[in-house]
Amino acid sequence: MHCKQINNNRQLRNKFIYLCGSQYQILIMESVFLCKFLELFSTKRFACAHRIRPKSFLSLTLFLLLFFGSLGLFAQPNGKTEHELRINRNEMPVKILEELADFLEEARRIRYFREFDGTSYFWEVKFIYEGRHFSVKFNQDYSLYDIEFLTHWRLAEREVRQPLISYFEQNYRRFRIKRLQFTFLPQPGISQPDFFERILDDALPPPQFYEVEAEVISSITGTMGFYEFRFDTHFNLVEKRIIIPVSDVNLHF
Amino acid sequence: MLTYIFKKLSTASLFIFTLLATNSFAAQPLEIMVEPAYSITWQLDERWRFIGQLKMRQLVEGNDESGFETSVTDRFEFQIFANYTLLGSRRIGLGYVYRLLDPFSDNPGHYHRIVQQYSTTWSAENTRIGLRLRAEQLFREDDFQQRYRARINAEIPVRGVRLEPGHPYLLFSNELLFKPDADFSSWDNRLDAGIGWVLPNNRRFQIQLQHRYEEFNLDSRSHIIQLMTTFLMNI
Repeated sequence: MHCKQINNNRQLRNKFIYLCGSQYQILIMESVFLCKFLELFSTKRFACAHRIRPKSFLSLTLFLLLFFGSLGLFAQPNGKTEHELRINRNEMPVKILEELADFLEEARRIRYFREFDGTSYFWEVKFIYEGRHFSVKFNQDYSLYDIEFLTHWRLAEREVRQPLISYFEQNYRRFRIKRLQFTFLPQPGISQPDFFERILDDALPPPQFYEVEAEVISSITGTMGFYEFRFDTHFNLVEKRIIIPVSDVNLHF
Repeated sequence: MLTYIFKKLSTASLFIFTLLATNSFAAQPLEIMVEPAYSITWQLDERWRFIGQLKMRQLVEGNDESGFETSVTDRFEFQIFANYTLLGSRRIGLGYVYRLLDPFSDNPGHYHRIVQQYSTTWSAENTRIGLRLRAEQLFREDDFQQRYRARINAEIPVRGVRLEPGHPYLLFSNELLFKPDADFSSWDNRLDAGIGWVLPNNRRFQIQLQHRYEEFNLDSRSHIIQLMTTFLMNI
């Protein structure tokens, strides 16, 4: 049953409460807890519609108001907005799995994701191959978008660290680099299988971009921020995006 | 790899938790408590944030006269903290806690607590790990107590690499508490396992089961199982 059908049916509307957008499918069950339990481990988004008697609903509302306060709505500031959802192997396109088959045989910690970057959808496969962390991203039409190699900042070569440190020292009062990533874009004239072999099997060539996530303190204003910096092969800054970190108050408090 | 280890540790903690609870129940009477909490965080700027929290604890206890178990409101608690962020996800904080004990009894008690805190977080693959160190001074009418706490906790996303609205996450933490005393210094251990959900507009809801092993170095050791629900919101 679709959300709109529930909405249009006045009798159902009076009896059911639900949380859903128009794109969600509704699963009608008697047990709220079983429904929520299934939703937790499901890879598909769905909402649970359950029957609540008006008296119970009122007491539930009062309980929520008493213990959890009013629900203020505050908009989140704009920043780097990417949404990533982990999916199962059988939800990945077969074409992508076939292209990576040779590498996935020997890889470990293989994970599959569906990603939305604000404008487009991507398929992503992350794995550890020969001790190195790779992320291979494909467009919606299954063409290769990029390959990312994630490394620990302290393990990067001096030839990479030195120019980046120089940049941050020149432009910021203090900085702390949290993450370093090499981005390899597909090369024209090189087939995808050859490209995979060149990046994953052979010694890593110089990447097209270096991406750095760092906390910085501005030398002018003294304000602190968390940004993603993108540098080209000559370590010139190409792009800088603010990162809105997920709230970690439950870890600190 | 570390996320894998932490997921296994979370599973293990549930097993250990059940083992401890069962063992403690067999050894001596077990106290069961329920504690809902509401937390609100106000971020002034990128450095300063203020946190307020309201808690209430219900204690399930036996009624000698009727023989039935009843729930009693054990305490109300109000906390307020000021946190200052240093570079590298490190924070120092100062807080005040007011606790009202047995609020509905004929002689309710209360005390005040001042808290100093240092905390830091770091990421290990998908897992976010937090370390929190606290020093507390407790002021009652005719008593003063010092206490030290060290907690390590982990947050593991279940459905993605990053936490996003609608995504659940697993929680795992262990805290060691030390109360120095001229005669009987005591140690407590608190083991938590739970699950949380990220909600839209920077809100979260968490359910945790906590096993408290209180004064485990003394003869007066006791076990408490506590169910905690927390609603957190940011403004």
